[in-house]
Amino acid sequence: MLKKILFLFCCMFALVNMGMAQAAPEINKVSYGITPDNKLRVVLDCSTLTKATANLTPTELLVTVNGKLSNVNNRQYFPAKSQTVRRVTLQEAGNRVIVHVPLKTALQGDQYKLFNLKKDNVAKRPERIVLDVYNGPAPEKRTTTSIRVTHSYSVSGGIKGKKITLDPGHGGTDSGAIGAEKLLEKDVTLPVALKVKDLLEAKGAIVSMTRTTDRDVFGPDASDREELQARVDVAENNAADLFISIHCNANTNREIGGFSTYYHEKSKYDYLVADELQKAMMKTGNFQDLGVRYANLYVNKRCSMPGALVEMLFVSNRKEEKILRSNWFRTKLAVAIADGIANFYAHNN
Amino acid sequence: MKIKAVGLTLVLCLSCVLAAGCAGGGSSPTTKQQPAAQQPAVKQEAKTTTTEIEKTIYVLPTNGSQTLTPKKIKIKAAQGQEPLTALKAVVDSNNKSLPKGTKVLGLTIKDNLAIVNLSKEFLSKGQGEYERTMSLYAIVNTLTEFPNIKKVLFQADGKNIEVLGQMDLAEPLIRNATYLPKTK
Repeated sequence: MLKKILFLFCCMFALVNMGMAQAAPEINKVSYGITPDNKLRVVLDCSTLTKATANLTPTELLVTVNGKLSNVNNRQYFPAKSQTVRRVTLQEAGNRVIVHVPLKTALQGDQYKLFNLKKDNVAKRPERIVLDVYNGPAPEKRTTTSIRVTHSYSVSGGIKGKKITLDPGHGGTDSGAIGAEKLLEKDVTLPVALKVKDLLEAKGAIVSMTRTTDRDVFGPDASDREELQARVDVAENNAADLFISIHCNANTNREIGGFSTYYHEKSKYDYLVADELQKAMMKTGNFQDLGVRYANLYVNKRCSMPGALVEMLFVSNRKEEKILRSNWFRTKLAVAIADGIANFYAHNN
Repeated sequence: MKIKAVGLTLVLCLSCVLAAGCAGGGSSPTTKQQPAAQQPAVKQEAKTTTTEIEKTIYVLPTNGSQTLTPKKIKIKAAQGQEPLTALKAVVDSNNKSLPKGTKVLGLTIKDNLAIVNLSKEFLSKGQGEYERTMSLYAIVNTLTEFPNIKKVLFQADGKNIEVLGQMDLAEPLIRNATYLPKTK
């Protein structure tokens, strides 16, 4: 009896869904490019979530996308210096778009990837279909994904000569959290990080930055993982001793505020540096102490050296948003972070 | 034989849903590989012994701290279904901190790993980092109250998640005592 009911229910569900079949999605824009790890990337901006399938033959990669090319003029792309791809051509066939990628050499099944990037209202990016094709070996210095170079790091002997990577959170198309009065998280993290850089250099540290301007580190149209991995790569490529990611917090309930610091326990030092940073930040004023917390944060987990991620107050909290706008308080925050790092090294002598 | 028949019905049911999803331009557009057949939410046989147990779930605090509040609830569920009931309760209790419309689609437990399948709303942006981490660890800490669950992997609409906000969700999460009240 139960089976019959289930079956009937499913049939009804299927029918209802078929009845709702909509008009073909519009593909409004196509961009082509080469990613920092040398993949040919084709991005199709779509009006709604759509379906795409790939078919690989020894001479050609064919991708069929459910949709119509509305006003796309750049329907062909010739990648310079590609070892694998001759060209990319878009062809319209009814309610489908076929992406032809004739190949110079046969590809393995894992040398291309077809995936979706979700609509992002904050970054104002639509639903996207992304095709990545292996374009040749990745440049040596930019190790992404599988190749993990592990450097030895040093924590002893004071801050002088220590290689520290600072990561101003978000940037470019990714604004991070947005305050009630429209303060963007990325517009706080960068100026504070730049101030921290100067202060650490004055203490004798060698500082590298994941970004020094308002930009995406991997590039626009990156997946969230690629964007975060690109930040980890900066630390690895600089053989950093310490990685500090600088963020502001947010919450839909605007009442909540305060400082918190996160760590991922790869060594005993991760907690120690997080604790020093939290203590130093708490001295900047009368704010709630949300504490030092373990979390599975990508950048802290994937970096081989110790590190922490600071959340400097909440842009979602009106009072804190206001203070985060002021240059004097940003300087105060930067001094606190630089002091926290210096204290960590001083206590580990 | 009976199990087989139920299985067949479920397969039929799933294929209907999948086909329907395609026709409607639904939520499962991915591409190269066929999505792994989704585990049905409730994998139960004819057994219907319902027992009531008391269990702790974790909810976001009302005082704005970063420590989860334990809440004892009574769980009435068929044998083996208690974790799913607890999961639904914790998602319900924290619905203001999870993205709007997030629903539990299923829970599979195997080799001490719980796979939590939530609806695709779970991935929507606009949530703060504070509530995201807190609500994720509220779920993880609630499920790891069960002795047969040590790790929790999150899925959205049956698909694995790489990154959510700043969180790495490619690998399972473990119980996080730093979000719990300090034990005396």
